Amino acid sequence: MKRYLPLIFIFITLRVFAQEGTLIIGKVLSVKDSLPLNGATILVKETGNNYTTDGSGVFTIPGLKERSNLTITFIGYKKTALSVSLPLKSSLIVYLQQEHTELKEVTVSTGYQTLPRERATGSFEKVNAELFNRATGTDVLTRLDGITTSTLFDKRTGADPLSSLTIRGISSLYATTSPLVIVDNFPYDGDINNINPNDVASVTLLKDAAAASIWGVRAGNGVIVISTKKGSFNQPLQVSLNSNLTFTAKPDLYYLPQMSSSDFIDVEKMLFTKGFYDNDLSNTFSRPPVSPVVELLNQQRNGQISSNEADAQINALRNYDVRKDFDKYIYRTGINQQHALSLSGGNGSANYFFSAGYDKNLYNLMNSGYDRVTIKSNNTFKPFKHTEIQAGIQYTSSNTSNQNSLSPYGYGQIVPAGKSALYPYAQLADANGNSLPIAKDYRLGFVDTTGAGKLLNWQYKPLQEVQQADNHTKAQDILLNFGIRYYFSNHLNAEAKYQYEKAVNTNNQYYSADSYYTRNLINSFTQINGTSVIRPVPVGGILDMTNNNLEAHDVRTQFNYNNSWNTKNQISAIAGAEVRQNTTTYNVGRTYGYNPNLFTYTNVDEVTTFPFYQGLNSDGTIPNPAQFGNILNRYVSLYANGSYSYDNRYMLSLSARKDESNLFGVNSNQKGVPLWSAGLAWNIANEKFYHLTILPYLKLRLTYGYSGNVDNSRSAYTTIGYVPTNNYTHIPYANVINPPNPELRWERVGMTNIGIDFGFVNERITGSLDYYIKKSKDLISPAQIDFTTGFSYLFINSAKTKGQGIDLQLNSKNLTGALAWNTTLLFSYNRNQIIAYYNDLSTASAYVSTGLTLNPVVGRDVYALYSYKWAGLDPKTGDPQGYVNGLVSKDYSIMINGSLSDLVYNGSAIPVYYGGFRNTFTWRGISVSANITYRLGYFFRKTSINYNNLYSGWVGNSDYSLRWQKLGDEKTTNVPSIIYPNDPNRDEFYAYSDATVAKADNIRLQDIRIGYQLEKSQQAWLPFNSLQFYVYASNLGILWRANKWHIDPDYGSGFPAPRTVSLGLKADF
Amino acid sequence: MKNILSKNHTGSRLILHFLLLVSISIISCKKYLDAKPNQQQVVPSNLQDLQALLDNVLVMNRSFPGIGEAASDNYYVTLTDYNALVTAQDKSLYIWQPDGVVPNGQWLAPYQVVYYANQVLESLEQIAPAPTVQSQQIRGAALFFRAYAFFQLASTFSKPYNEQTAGNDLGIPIRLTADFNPVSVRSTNQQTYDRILSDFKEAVTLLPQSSSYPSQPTKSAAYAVLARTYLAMGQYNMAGTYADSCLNLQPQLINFNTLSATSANPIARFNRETIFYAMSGGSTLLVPSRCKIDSTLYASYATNDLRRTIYFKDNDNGSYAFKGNYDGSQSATIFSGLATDEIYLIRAECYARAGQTAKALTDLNTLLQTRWKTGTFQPFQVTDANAVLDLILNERRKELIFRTLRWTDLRRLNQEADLKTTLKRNLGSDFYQLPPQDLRYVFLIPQEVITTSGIPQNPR
Repeated sequence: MKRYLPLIFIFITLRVFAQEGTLIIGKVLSVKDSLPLNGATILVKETGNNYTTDGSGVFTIPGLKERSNLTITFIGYKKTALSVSLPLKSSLIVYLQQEHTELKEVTVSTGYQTLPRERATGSFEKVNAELFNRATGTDVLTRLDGITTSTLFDKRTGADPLSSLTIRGISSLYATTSPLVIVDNFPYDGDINNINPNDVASVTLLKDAAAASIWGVRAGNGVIVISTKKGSFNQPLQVSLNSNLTFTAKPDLYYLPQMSSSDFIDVEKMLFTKGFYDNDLSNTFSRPPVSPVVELLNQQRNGQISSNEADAQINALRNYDVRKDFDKYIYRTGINQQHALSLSGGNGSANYFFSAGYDKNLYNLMNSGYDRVTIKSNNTFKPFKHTEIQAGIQYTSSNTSNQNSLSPYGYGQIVPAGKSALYPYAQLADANGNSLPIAKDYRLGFVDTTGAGKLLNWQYKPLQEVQQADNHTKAQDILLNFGIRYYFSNHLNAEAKYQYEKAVNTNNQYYSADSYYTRNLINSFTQINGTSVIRPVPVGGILDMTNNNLEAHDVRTQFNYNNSWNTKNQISAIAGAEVRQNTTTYNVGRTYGYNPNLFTYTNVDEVTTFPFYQGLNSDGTIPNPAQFGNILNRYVSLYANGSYSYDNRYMLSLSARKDESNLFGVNSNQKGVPLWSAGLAWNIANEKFYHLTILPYLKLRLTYGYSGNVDNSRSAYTTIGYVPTNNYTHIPYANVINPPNPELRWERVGMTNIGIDFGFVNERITGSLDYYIKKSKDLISPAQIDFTTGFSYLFINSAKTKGQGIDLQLNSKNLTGALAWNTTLLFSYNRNQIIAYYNDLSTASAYVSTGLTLNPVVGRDVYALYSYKWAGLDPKTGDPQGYVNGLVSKDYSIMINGSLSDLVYNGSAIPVYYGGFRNTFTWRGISVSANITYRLGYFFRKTSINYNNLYSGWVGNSDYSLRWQKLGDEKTTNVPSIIYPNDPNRDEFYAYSDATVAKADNIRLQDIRIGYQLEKSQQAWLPFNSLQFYVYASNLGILWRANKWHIDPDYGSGFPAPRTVSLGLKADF
Repeated sequence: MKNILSKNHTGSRLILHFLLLVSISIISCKKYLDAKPNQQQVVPSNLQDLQALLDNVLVMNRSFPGIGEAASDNYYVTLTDYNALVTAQDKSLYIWQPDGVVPNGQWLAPYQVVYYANQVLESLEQIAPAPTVQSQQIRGAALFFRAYAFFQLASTFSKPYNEQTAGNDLGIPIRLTADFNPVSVRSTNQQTYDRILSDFKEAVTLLPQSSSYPSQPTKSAAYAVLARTYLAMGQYNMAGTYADSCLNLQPQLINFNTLSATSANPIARFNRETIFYAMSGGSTLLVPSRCKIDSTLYASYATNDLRRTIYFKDNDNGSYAFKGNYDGSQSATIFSGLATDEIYLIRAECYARAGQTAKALTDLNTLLQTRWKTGTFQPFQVTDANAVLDLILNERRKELIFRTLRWTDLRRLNQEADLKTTLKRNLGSDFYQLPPQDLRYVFLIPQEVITTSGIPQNPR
């Protein structure tokens, strides 16, 4: 691959308008976005002559009188009249106000070409800047939540927005399900957070095959095209400023079903009398952590304290709730600042856009934050006739700070050794705010006394760790692009584009000498012999460094052809070739004894096996997490796309693409996959026989085609992966990554789309309705295989899914007077089912799930929620009951090892119907808009009490207080009674029975925005063209939910996104 | 296009040529796509790659089945600890429940070793069709690993070898190819042991005298494992011969007087007695804090026997825990590899069974000399052959405690009328026992394997 030197062109030229005698030159711009209006009509009242603006919004009127009255009209804009007196004192710029919020002439971008929506056959959905900027926030993608059809963010697992986003449901089972993100012309390989939303001009979703298949093998999950702002020719300098402040409430810890301290203590007391803790208390091998209550009970049993004293201390602990400390010391109100400034303009031969942005976020968790500086420049110029050159640069620099990954302190992340949670009465600080120790890896009594002062302090104090947090990621991302286009004629032009991206991420996590991680590691290897103390791990800090480098090149050449003849025939075609390469390299390293002030460090012996202090653990070597890696992806693609329209009535589009990649271990001739699509559209409203004046716009669309999905991690041959070292021999070794799979193919997604676009008279109601059928085949999925082969699963192209859905968008103008009221209704239906899956041999326990993961069963939704059939609690014992052979039973082992047919199918664990309902009221400059979102037709499983996890893992659940305790309780509760010794199968049965499943349907008030806008056209004194103040509040809460447990099912077992309130202003000069 | 070019516009020509050049170079670069997506991933193509697979200690050495030890009689757990057990598998294992579920890993992990070995053997044929010293050693190692895994599987999932019935007894599936397509079938026990022996014997001829790490098999390891296999089969002459061959190459013993009794892990990993490093696991019953040494067994170690303090830790409550793992670690994963002490005991037993009591006692005394406090050991002087055998078997149990050998010994010795043992467990008022040659001496094959392969399950 050749490297091209980045070329940066930044041209800033201001055009000065000529005024000579009675000839005037002026310009017509849209007031909203200052974009030139092409084809506006200027009527000179005195002469009756009409003039029209050109593509740059410029008009020229010769022979004007000294005073003339002009009337300017443009479709979709309010008629504007003005009188001019010559000579002009300043350049004549006329701003037109939009008549309606929806523009009829909408263009959509595929990343390869821009086409008028009216002539498109495919299913596009466009979010314009106004809608996009309705929300606030640091990143681009989350703003799409609730304002587009077909997009669904699955927030249950807390994954990043891109990973949690699907368009029209999932199309792949084990490859990525995220859509492809295009920024301007090329797939974006960097961190999507590096794009400043203030630079975004519009976002287009490519939903069906005709729209997306031009992107080939990476388009199977849908495509999001982000178009960034650009300058335009013959446009005076525009300056825009946006600044806002967002407050994020502390997370509601009390939402979580934490077991009450008193209940937890009662269980501990019961277990203590049963001897449950005897093993831990007498364990002098690993000295496992023991809770304060058990310590007190043990002291009482050993006669160290009286029973009165023990009771008093234990009862005092009943009043603590660790969430209070977390709320007070670990979480804070988040504050995000965002400031963005942009300049744009252009003359006849050059235009420019320049922006700078600054974000500073303080997140809820102490010591976690983010700041970002973005600089962007985009320039186009015409150095000579027929040639257009474009050059752009985007630079992002960010700093992320966080808790250290090996010493986290968020709620639920402080987990003592061998446990899964912290006991609910833990105290992080005393009444005076001094931090308190908790038993983390070993018992407190042991930690406090062992080593007789020769060890480093071994106490773990969570609040001290908060102060020690030192985890910083610096990221720099530079994106350069360069394009040249040559017009051979009015019909044919050719272009070449090149983009280079380099992103460097450096993560430094420093564990200071005072941090628990460091002290613990040093003590673990300390050897004390009499007075001699040997420390193989040196006293000093530990620095972990991770470097990540991304370098991507994209080269594209493309021919564009446009022609029309006989006024009725219109043809538009593109053909091109492109090469993409991206390389990711990373390395991880650790330095011991690091001193951040002197930059000194200590060499350690990472080979010798050292004894663990007092044999608390096995002998071992000093950890060395060093790692190196290099991932290279290459694609070569050829593509062509053409559309023909006749008389603005019939449209035909065809698209074909062939992608090849460096798919490992596959012969060249199998590396490629041809993908294609075809589409038809019929503008019924343009037919002569069409006379429905109430519905002046009606268009039918029909498309079919294929796009793909690629997973370069698989291979057709036996592949082995090297591991640099191991703890036993300290030499490199290799793993078999996958057995040979000569049948390996690319996954393909075929989609049929039928759509209708319509607009009633005066655009009172506009909208579109799409119905689609999506079939994914050759999906790579695990097939269970006889373990005797040495494998438990093989990943083969074995699965098929079939999905169908509806996307409906309705916009209505309910009131159009001084008080305007617009409503947008979004409705999406999507259901994806497995129609072929190789793996169907498992027992019942493999199918019951929390619904968070894929659960492929033929004939069911991809996220299928299965449960054991529930037969209520045994009235005599409070034991959960199920069915065996149709009879009520408590033989849990048989039920767990039963078959799929014994289970109850609850339904899909992800929404089947979803959308939003947005109302906007405007009166004078004030606008109020609220978005209500809904998700329907799905189910979720709650967490409940699991006695196994409670006893040995300290994981409680507030359902414990609802447990069966006496005869008759079974009528009001499904929570099983407490038993000891515990039967893990009993827990398993209850946890995955349909007693813990409910409908997840909910409706929520997603956000409210209030804006006040001042316009220069109305308030002539303003130094701005427009000035807007706004307040935006989001995550306002659930309005209705189907479950009676008061659970927000869209956030899984975590807490719902906290409310945010933003205050901001936006000014255009 | 032609009329465009004929316009004689230099700029347009230049640009057009540039575009065509780029397009052609894009389309014509087939090799461009042969680049590896991940530098660390390769198709095994040289001997280094194959050696790297065999050097995968986690797969090849550390995942052997260990539930036999958890079903044996070297230890007990208290009722409170039993009640606090987390998994149903461990609970049923402890009381020998007939339908007790065996963890999948007990079957999958050793067969993964078999797969790696088969993959190496198949790749070897392509990479090095003409044998070289290194390729022969790799072949020897692969055969060794495969047979070692087969033997571990046979000791867990098949009946003990019995010459009379082996031709009919169900053995284990013998997979000799890396191809996952052939359906698994259970061989007979005779076929199973024949394959194990022939692989080990071929390995003897190929393996090197020494290796860099005990995790890599050597000639002496192959001799040692042949001795172990023949012993398990009750073919004592052969066992003795191979034990002798092994000890000729590797006779070193650790003098326990040089070890620290106060150390938490007195016996280091890769110590000088280790001939071949292997570890077994699979049950939390053996976690040292839970697993208490059978009190009669503990009492049988004399006061001056250093193993009393090297092997065991006083829990300060009348019970004792095991800390003599030949791995420098204390966990439920225990050393099950080959060490010289075992081979001395094999040779001693075989001498005793052959009536060569003096030679038998020499071996036993040589070993015990290193296990007792210096100057305290009185060498055994017994002449009665049966008494010598009893003595050796008793010392065998004491020396090789928690090495997974007790289970194979029980299976073997229960076939002899006067060496039978009935295992007993008490849990509160409940009492459980496992009589000799009970069907439960053969574990159930995980249900998933039965479902996916259709092989017959072991009877109950």
